[in-house]
Amino acid sequence: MTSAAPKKKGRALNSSYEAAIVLKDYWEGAARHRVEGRPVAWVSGNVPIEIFWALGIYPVYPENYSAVCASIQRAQEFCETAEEKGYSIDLCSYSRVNLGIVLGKGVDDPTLPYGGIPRPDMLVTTRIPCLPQVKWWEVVREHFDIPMFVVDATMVELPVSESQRQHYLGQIRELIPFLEQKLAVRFHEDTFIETLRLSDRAAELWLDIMDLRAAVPSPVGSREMCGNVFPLVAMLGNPKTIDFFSHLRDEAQQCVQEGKGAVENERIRLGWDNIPMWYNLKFFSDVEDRNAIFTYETYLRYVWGGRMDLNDPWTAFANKHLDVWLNYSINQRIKTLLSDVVKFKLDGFVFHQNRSCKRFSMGQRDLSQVMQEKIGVPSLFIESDMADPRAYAEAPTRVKMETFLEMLEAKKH
Amino acid sequence: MVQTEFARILADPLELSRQWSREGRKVIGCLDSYIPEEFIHAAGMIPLRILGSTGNVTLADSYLPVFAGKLARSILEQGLRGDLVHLAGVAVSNSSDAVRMLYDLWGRHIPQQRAFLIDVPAILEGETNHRVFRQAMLDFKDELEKFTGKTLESAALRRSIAVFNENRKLLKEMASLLSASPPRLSAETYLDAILSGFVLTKEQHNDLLRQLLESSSGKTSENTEKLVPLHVSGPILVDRSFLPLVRKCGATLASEDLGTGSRYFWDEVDEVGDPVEAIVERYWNKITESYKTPMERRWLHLLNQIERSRAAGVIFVIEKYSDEDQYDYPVWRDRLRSRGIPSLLLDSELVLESEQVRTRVQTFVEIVKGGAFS
Repeated sequence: MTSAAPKKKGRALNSSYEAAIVLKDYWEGAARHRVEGRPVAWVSGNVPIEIFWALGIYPVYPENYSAVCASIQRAQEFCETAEEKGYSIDLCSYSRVNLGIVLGKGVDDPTLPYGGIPRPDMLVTTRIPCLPQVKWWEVVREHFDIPMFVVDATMVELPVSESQRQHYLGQIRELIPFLEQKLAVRFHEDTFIETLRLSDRAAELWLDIMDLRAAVPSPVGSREMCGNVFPLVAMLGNPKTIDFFSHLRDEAQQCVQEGKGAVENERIRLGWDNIPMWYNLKFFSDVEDRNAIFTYETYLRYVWGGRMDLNDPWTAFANKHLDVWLNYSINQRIKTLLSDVVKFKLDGFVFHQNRSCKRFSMGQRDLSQVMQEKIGVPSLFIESDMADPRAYAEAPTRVKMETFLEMLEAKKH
Repeated sequence: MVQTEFARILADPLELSRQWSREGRKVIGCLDSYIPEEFIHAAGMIPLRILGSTGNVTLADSYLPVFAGKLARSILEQGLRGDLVHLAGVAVSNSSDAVRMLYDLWGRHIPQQRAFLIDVPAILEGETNHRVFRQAMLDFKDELEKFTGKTLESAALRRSIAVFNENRKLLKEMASLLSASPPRLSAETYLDAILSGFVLTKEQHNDLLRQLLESSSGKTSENTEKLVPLHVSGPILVDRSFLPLVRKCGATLASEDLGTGSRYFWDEVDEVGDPVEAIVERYWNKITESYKTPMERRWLHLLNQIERSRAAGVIFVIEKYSDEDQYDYPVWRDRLRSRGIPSLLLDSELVLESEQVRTRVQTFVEIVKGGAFS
């Protein structure tokens, strides 16, 4: 990382260029679905996504839309609109972007990315990532006055307990008839199981890619993988996801076999905790000038996807959806992270104290302390926000990161 | 005078609990409104509501970011500093994300003190959530029984229910004196009486409330006729300097729907039928807090209180970084506006006293008085 203008970097994996096409297809598909009069639900991260694809309900992710707005430097204007409407600057920036659109010029405003966000017939959310998500949806419901369903869950320490599983499945058994009745769709278990199969195949491929990144040198860094993750969030059960991830996996595998790293002379391996700064993914690739690479992220490994044993599909489905980093107790996060830091041979870890994701950010100090004490891996804290660029202080953050890299480099000698 | 007694108690809110502890009585610190305090009481222990402290947070900074909010941070600070060391345990429910996280942090950094988790759902709708809610409450009861080595008998539970219900009735009677026209109780006394209830035994609190109600009967609170009646809404109000400030601005509290006020005491436990089930149902059906869904019960309570008190405006006192309340506020504001009721938002970090707050309240009172709101 230098203070000189960064050189433009290409993708380490050519398949990563497909990500933008998949994303565009997804949003165009949502618009088409709406125009054709088929049901559209606004959903949030960690909803039981496979149910929607199996029922033919298009799951629209405003969170992703907010991340897209952030990545094209349009989040701030919508955040400011939401703030003018009374929504505090301290609230989740994904929600402020969305509320700025919904309560501002509206979701049909043609100047919006992808021509706008298709209007919802239904709102479905879950408490699994956080409680504010539910509150955000309550505001959206107030505006659109449409039916809403919330899937609740308590935090877990693995393995998921039987009572937690029954809590989850009980609600799914309430959700399915709710969707059938409100949106005139019909649930067929065979279709659902097939959707789970597609979902699991995509998760398998994704986890293969994640594991391949434990190799030294790492085949692909965080910037690229943050751009690739979207289908794992929103398109589990969609065959296009499998095609895309297969291409990525095959290419990453080849790189590992050939000993080809994303960074030519990889010396420092870094991990990342929390949602990235979508308006500044360059933060990840900038370290590559210092022969460092971000090759592990809790956000990409434990927030989305997850394998399922389809011999017992409903149990596996519940386990997968409850086994989410944001829903882990602090003790579970520590157990998981310690083992991964060793597996990925990380030299240092960066914790993003993300003002917009409190559930992710609380407990990070404990993770950092334990990592230092138990395995001697140091960490750095940076304070910022996932979508609102006003919370990011470029100069001090760069200095902190520079110093951290220097310290890690010195430790190597 | 009972008012003086409340003020004395609140000057050092933890002192009585330290005394109980010295006398060998077990005290359980309760961190939110979904702890079935009747179970603790029936188990022979004393529930004590922990409402944080206005002091600086230093030790807790090592574990919680500023944006976790002052309430959670200051409670953890109290725990780490040893201010709560005399408690036999603390009980946390699955409420806001920050408070829920305190359970994990307590286990890691204050392991010598027993922490109970009442792992209730956030969504208080649907059969499945009801079943899980009930089970979480029953699990807590089992844990208390193991902790004390005694079974919670129905007779003890009924006695506890009666004590708590009496407390709720007395507090509601007090609320009606506050909102009477003219008021028969000062807002400052009302707030002190409510806050004292969190750090007294319910029996002691009932005695004091009875004395207060008796002494207030037939009287009119001083100089209230010129004051603009306002409603105060929010999760927590512990800053005792706020209501005198409102008074100086020409207004007074006439009703409230605070998490540490009427939302805490409004709903009673059904005294007929199985006492355990009745307690569970009370908490399931109570006026929801902002960290629970559905929100409509809370809205209806707010409206009812305003109608009862004929408040001319609403002040929302919302803790900084309390996401749940911050999402609710613009919705409530707009709904009130459509009914012609003006409102004001004040940010708090357990403390409200500041020049800026004074100016904002003053301006708001002028607007309400002048009827300039539209």
